[in-house]
Amino acid sequence: MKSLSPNERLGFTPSFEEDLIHERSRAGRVGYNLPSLDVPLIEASQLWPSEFCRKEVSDFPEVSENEIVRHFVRLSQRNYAIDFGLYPLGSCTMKYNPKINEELAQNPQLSRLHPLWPEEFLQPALKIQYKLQNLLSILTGLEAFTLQPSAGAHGEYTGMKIIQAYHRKKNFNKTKVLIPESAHGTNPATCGMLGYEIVSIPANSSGIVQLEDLEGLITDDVAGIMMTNPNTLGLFEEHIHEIAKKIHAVDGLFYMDGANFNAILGITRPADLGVDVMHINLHKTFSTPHGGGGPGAGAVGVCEKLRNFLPSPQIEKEGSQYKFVYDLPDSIGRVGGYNGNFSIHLRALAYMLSIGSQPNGHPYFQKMAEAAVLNANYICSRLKAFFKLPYEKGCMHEVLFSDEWQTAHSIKTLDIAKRLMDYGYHPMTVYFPLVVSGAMLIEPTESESKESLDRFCEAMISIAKECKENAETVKSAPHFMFRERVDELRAQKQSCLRWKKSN
Amino acid sequence: MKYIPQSNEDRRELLNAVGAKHIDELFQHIPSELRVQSNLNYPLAQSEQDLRKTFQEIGALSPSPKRSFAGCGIYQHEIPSVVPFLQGRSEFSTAYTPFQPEISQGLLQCIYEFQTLACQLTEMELSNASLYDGATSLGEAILMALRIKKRSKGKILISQAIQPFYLQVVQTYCKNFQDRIQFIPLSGDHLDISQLKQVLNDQVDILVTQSPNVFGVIENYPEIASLIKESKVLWLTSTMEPLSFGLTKGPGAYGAHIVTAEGQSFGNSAYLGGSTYGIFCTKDEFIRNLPGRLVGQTLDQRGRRSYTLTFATREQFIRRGRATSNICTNNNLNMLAGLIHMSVLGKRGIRELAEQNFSKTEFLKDELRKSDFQVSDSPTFNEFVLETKQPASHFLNASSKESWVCGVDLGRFKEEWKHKLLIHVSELHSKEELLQLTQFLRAQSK
Repeated sequence: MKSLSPNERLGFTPSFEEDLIHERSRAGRVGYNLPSLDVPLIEASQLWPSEFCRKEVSDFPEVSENEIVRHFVRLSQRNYAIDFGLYPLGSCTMKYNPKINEELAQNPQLSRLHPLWPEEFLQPALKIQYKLQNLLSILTGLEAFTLQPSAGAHGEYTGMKIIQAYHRKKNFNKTKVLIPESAHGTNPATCGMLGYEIVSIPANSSGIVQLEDLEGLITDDVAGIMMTNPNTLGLFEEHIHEIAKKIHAVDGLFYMDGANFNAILGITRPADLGVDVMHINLHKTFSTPHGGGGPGAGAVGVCEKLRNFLPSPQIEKEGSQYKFVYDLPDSIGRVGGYNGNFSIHLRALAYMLSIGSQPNGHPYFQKMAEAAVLNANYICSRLKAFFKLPYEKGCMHEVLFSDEWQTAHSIKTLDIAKRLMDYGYHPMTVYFPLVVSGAMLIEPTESESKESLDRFCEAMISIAKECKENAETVKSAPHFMFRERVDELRAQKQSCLRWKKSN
Repeated sequence: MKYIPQSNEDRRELLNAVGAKHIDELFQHIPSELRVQSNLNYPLAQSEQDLRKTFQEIGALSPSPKRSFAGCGIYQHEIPSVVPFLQGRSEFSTAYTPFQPEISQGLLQCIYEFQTLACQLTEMELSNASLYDGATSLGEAILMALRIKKRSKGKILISQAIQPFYLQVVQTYCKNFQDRIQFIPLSGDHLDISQLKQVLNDQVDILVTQSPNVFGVIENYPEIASLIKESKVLWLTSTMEPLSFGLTKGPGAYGAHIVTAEGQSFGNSAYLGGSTYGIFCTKDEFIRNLPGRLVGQTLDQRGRRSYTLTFATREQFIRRGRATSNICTNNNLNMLAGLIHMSVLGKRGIRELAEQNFSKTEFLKDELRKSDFQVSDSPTFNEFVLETKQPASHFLNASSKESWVCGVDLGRFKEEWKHKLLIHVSELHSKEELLQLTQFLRAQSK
């Protein structure tokens, strides 16, 4: 029997609960004030046909400013965040988001810039984008960049579109793209959007693509290959250079998904590995806030022969002036409304400037990659006695475990993930990559101290013990979160996707 | 390095624990000839103090316009103080996508509230958690409509009064179907309804319109609605200025099937046009074809109301090559600013703010008409086209010299539009500034 909290007995909402903004609404309350109108008020109905005119936005909330602040502060507290603790989501690179970058982004000289102002007013933005592209070129070895894509997947779309445009221009009939089975779902989804046939490269026991896996797959109609490196198992694709050569031999192009670029910054350059096109998730490697699901930013870099296919406009420097160039006959066109997520670009630039070279010693960006890889290896070494490591090969910036040893106690990855919340952590990435049953992908990033890694490992080890000794507690977790286990099936079966007055 | 807690001592301990003598051992699978051996001539690291200086210098590269009447898709409005205050909370900004509902209820509830507001605003049944921006939302809408009509190979009718950057995005997204696209010509500054009537037949799958359109004109949706009512055409709409919904009916009220909008006006600064967010709404029956994230209400184990991401079987991480889209971002933080701003405005505020924008725009139009300028009588909301004798670029150059911006020269898009100056007026412009603008335009027209 459910016991009532003191507030529930009074008939109130329990104190840490929060109603919907619409439920807080009371007719007549306002959360805004406007200056008084200094011109005559004109009603739309005086000038428009009556069928255009709206009486009101029905059921829009009516809430005072102070109530709005409480509402959203309360909601913010019902969340996990990097600024709260270690966020070990594999493939997501949840590193610390520096506060100076936020401060710089608030500068009204940057925030007010309108995309259709004359270029003489836009020099700050153009310079920031130009500088950012140049630094990305240095780190990747790729000659030219676009910053127009709004996210990683949008970058994939742009990059594959460039490949498609290049082959069409050359009159090559290319219909297939090779994609390893372990790839991010966005890779095949992108190719699907572009009408490519997807040829899956089956996984093998080594965890990386072997040359023999490609036998018979690289035919004349292959447009290219999409590979993530390090791959989604956290392993470096050792044969990438030879694979690139084979792809190039049939006029195919090599697309690298740069989601895991953090692991190899300053260690190796994609262009040197044979990569022709690559996207970089600026919100991962270059520290811009993930925002609870965006905005991200996907920069796309290409080798020299693909430069002309980049989206329009491009940025050029003439003397001391920067300008947009629109006249690009081979360009794939425009992929986003304006010039990409500039508010993210400027944060990424601030970060890239802060992780530069040192007068003596290695550049910070290289130290970053090294620390990220060392941290993941440390977690691997501490946990491998407790969780099954499907691939023994040394990992890069993330480590992959499976639930194989726990399934003996009928506990699966999802239970472990939910139990981890009770220890105060956001779960790792679960059930991805798909090639490993019950995958748990852990990426600590360089942002964690040794003590932080130790506490996390101890939580994981404790859960491994609970799986043997106290399985029910794990299976019914979480017990100390904002919510106990949420019924995701019900959300779909009895779908309710918005508030309505009646419900 | 202040962002990397690993000291040399820590590094030794960690290396020891993993059984490596040197960090290079962890990278030994990378062939040595492919390793970077230098600092790549990368510039020296900047301290926080250096960064402030660098960005101050960059910011000062251009003068800041004293006033701007530029709109055409990105609109400057007053942003209430609570918006950046709440949006900036790092519990929101430094979180990831709320895949794990038990630990992400706050974000999920925000998205659910946004979905509700977006539906109310557009008078639609279903909204996703938002997309990248207005232009890509329109592109995604067409791809979605093509999925719904997948057995058909009919035409895609597109209004020529859609903002050209939006059209360019649509053309990129529809490159593989470009032979199916047919543009509907204009009658002056709006869609030519009689032409539309002529081309509407069984061979048409999709109709795409924008209102207010690139000339700021509110299209005649009641008439379009009556034309397509009995047909099987899917009607897709785009709106660049969603504040107009404070005064105009939502496209859902006319029977539109997919409604998209740029969300920037609510809560977001211009930032060169990004990042913003796209509003994407449709009818319940099309849920399986919807791109993007979706949040639903449900219960937890103890029967408490909860929220979670749902209908994920449409999405790339499950369906892969057959997903409805590759999209996995909802520009959440921009959407959050929009949610907060819309909540602040509420039912009365959105109307009052829209009325102020409308009244000021009409005031300026009247002043210009009094000065013998040619201003169309078509219904507009908060921007309109001024037909200029000299090319519009002449006025832009003149205002730039005085460090302000008198509008957008539509000639930048098309040669035939070079005498069209698009002027956006909002609550930020005082009566005095509107009179100054009139004076300036008069003086420059001589």
